[in-house]
Amino acid sequence: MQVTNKLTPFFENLNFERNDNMMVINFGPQHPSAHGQLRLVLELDGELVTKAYPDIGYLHRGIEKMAENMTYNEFLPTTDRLDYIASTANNYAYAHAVEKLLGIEAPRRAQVIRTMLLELNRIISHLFFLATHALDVGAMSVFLYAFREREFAMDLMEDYCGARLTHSAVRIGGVPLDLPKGWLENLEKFLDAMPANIKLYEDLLTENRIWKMRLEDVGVISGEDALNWGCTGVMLRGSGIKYDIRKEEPYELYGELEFDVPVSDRCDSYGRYRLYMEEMKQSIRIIKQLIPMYSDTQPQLMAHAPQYISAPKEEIMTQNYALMQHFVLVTQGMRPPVGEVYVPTESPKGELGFYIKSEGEPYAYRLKCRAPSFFHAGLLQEILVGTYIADVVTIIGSTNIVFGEVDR
Amino acid sequence: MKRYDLRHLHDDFYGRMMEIIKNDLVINEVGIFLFEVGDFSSVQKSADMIKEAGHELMNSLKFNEVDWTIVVKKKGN
Amino acid sequence: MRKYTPKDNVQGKAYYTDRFWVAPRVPRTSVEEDSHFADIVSALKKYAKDSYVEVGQLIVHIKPTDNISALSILKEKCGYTQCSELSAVDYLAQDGEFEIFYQMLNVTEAARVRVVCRLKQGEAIESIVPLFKMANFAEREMFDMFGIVANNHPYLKRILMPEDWSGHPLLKTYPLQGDEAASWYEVDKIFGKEYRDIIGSENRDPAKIDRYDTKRFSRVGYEVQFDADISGGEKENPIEYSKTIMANYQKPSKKLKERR
Repeated sequence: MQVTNKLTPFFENLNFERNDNMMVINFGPQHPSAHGQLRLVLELDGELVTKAYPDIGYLHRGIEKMAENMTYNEFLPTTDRLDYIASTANNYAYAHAVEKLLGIEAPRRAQVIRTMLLELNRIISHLFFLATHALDVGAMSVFLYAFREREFAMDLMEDYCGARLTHSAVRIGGVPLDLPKGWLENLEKFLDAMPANIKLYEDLLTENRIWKMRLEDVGVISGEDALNWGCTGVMLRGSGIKYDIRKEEPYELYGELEFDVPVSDRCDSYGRYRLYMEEMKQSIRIIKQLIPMYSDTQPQLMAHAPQYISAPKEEIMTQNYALMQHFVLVTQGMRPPVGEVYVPTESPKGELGFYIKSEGEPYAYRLKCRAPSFFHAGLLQEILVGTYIADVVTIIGSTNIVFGEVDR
Repeated sequence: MKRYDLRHLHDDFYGRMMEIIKNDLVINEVGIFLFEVGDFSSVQKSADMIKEAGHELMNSLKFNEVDWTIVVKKKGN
Repeated sequence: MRKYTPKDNVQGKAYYTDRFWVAPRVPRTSVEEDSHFADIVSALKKYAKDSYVEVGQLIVHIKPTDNISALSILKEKCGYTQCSELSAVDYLAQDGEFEIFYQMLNVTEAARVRVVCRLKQGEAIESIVPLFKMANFAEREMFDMFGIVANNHPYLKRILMPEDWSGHPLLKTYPLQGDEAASWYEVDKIFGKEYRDIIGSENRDPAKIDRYDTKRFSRVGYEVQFDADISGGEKENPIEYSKTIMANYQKPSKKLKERR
């Protein structure tokens, strides 16, 4: 046992000398390519990883505990902080789950705006994935190009909801704001410029010898293993299983739009990289179909459910009952029916689902957020064994984990 | 429904308000205007201007000590 | 007669409820005959105590002892090859039980089933890691948050909280701001219990300003040397803005005892 004091602190690699060079290192919480606070304890035999133990919990804020102490509308802004790269996806997943619990539907215009925001967030999230993954593997220039594109998309989000990262751009029952003047034209301009940029990234990376050497046959997950580990989204589609919640269990307007779901049976990081690039093209195609849909919708933004959702501002300012109901909904919070609901949605990282159990109280009795990155972090434990340290960084990047979601 | 804050114009917000109603609002759309009260003359004056322009004044409320808000539905021209 | 509210449930509660208000229920439909769910229920009929469809998903209630057999039937026979989520709900106050649910997904049929079982307090449940490797992390989180032990789990340790944390945070009896062990965790771990009153309780009030502290606060317009003594002999009494947040566990007060 080591006697530790100020001069000789705990030395993790004491057994470095004992049995040849078996070393334990911390891929510590503060690491440039740890995508957040991941402490990965790696047992190394030289450069080869023999055992990996992801120690998570450094960004645990007790979001599920907060959900039990906040009313439904109060909790919505905290869902931004789950997957902070594409926060509208979490807001939407939470709002959609509560709407399913209440049994209400957003009006047509709100659905069009929501689907546009979701796909815009998918593009933002995929650009962020591409940038950090390429930077981890070593391609500096792709990092700068991708972030430049992401700035334009985030300006669009800022025009709409005023925030770059924590959007809270969705409400339970609809959308808070209408599209500002000129937003659709800017969106159109952004979408016209995107294919050229995606082609730029693909020219840089896809046929790049170094990129292919670093990514091919790295982080191989068989289809059956992916299902077993609870992988969803691109991790699942990268292993040959074609399952996209937007296609299989369509929600919002995904039933009416036609887009195809890219699948690759390469099962390795290179396949997943190709999927992310393909999904960005599909997102552009989806938004292009949505823009004409916006003009022929009624200007109603929030669903009409007086006992759950307060009336629009003009009625509150003029009618007394709307004002009284608004006051009760804001001070005491709305009371959903008793029951439980689990609603999965396709977030850029995978299947993001909210399980809400309500006892008719304004506070959720239990809210479990099924975060895709949590299970992708659990997957690291198995696929990192037998790889080299350089591949560890590639695999962490390829699983696209974000630690706001993992630790909740 | 659109909301407009005219408090920065202090007392001479009438021109801007009528311009907004004429251009930005469509028929039967509701606009909510917020302006400074000053010596409470703007309350009556704004109500009269809305009336003579043929729009419907749906509500006229005291917002706080120094501000007033009116809810206008655009009718006629 | 006043309505009975469990005293140790310290979570947020509605401060007013209509006397005769009855909450509506989310509509539950029974499993119709020749649907996909019907043959799931028939496959599980040995274990399914109660089954209904709620919001488009089949919900099956089973006994906690045969969770592995039910899930293996679902996995092998009915094609539910992915368990997307597994967690617990705390019903200790109402009927001394946890409710554990397994959310299953059938990739080919795009159908979802939730297997729900009621586990007595203090009982352990059989771990389903042999069936689904995702349960490795999920059951560790359930143990960490609720204290439900999963038998022969490969590495049952706390996952989100530090290893030596005492108390299970998601229980209804665990206050949101944390109990005494939570607020003194760092001090006890680094310095030891006896240093508690020397160091003083943690400042959780973001708006707290020490008037005479020139180390951490700069006095704009009245700059002084770093760490200069500007109190002029006057003892500063801290202005207490948020009494509820600053739960000082030293002073024995009835309100605090009731909260814990």
